[in-house]
Amino acid sequence: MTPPAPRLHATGQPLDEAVADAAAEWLTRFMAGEVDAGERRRWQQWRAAHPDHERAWQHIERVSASWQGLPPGLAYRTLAPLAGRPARPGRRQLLAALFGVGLASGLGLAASRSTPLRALHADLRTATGEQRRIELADGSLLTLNTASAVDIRFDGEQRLVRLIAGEIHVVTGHDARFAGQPFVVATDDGRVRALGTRFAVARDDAGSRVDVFAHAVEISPAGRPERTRIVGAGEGARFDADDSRASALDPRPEQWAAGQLHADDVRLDDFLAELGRYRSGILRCDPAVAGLRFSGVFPLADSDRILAMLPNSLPVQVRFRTRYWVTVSTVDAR
Amino acid sequence: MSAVHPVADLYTEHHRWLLGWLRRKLGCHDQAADLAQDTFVSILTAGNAGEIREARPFLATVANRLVAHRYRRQLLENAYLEALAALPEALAPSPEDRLQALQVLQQLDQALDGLPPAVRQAFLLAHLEGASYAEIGERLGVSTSSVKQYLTRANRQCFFAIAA
Repeated sequence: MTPPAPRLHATGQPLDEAVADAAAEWLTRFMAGEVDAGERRRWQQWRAAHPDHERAWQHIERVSASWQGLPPGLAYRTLAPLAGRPARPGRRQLLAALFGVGLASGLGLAASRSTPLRALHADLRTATGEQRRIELADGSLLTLNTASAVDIRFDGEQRLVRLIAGEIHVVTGHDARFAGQPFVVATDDGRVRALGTRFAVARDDAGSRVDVFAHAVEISPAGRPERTRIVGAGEGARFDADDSRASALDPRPEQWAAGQLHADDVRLDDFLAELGRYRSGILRCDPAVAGLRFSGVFPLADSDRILAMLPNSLPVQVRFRTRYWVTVSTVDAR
Repeated sequence: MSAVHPVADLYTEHHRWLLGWLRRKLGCHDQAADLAQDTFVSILTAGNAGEIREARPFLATVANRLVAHRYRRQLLENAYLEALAALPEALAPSPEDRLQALQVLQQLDQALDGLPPAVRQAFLLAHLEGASYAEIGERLGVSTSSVKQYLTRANRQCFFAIAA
């Protein structure tokens, strides 16, 4: 009898051995920092070649994201001393079972808001650092920012875009065939009905946010739909399932929808925190340079390049230890 | 056919024996009682109690695994507390984040289980310390191409070998 091959999984579904091998090898190459533009294209082609390839890669990003938030040094110092301990035979099955339970409860925490599993099965989604623009059947333009996911349902009654994660920018279309059908963006917190318009909706840990750049929208919280609020051009609002409140307009959606990251006399640490939303891995800012201020407009498509250009405008150095681990520090520091 | 659940039979006939066996092994009554309980829960969850032929060796095997698991968790927790104490205050996670961080570390430890020490070490240095392959190679006394082989193997196991 031959021993059974080890079972491989990604995002809860079985995964082919060859796909797992390929994904693991791509990751090794990326971390070596030796992926050039041509290689990166081949990697994108590989991801697009089969849904399993994309699934495997998303799985890597999701799992590694769970430990990349750990304080630097902590994980290594905890795990390294255990390296030489012998594994006891027969432990694996039990550990696998316990591991499954542990992960499920961990995801349970996150699922309350960021819903990674739902996002994975969405109609349309973007990975970290990716943006996507599509034209809907009614001529509306929908732009997904980094790490976002939506479901789209046009059912003859309404034009519904369900925002599952991240943020979107919408310019509603005016195709006569859809004249009687309201355009609605729904989140778990409530509904945003477009009143002929250009606007953005985002979901984060604290609830949902809407910013209106032309005309107006109407917010209706999921739990108290009668508490509607009209938000006009140049205004913003936050809402959860119970209520909504006005807030200052956030201009960033118009900028990222144009593929740009604007810095207007910002602190370097704030800028890097914003840039970090478009990158996998750790982006660290040395406290010694955190307060430096600068201005500029940067193309979001290549965040590596934005980082590489920083020393042109500021007295800093940028160390790419791996693609997933970048430190911005003073020029003379090691 | 017996109407009683097979685990109930096991429990009635062998619980006292298992408790005594664990107490001798661990030297602590409370721990032994806990682990005996966990052993039966584990068998109940597995749902294959009806197929067991040699009850006592089977119980001992399951209990041994649980002991090993608990021991490993304890080692990890100790290492975690030491690492926390060594962190500068500004970097230390808040009390709420500490438990979550520990869970993440336990998952990582389990995901890397069974890998040779050098392979595991290469993975930790690359992913958690951001070390370059050249640095890792120097530290482990191997070539950069070996480091890549180690990482591909560790990446594959860590990300895909366990259902998630």
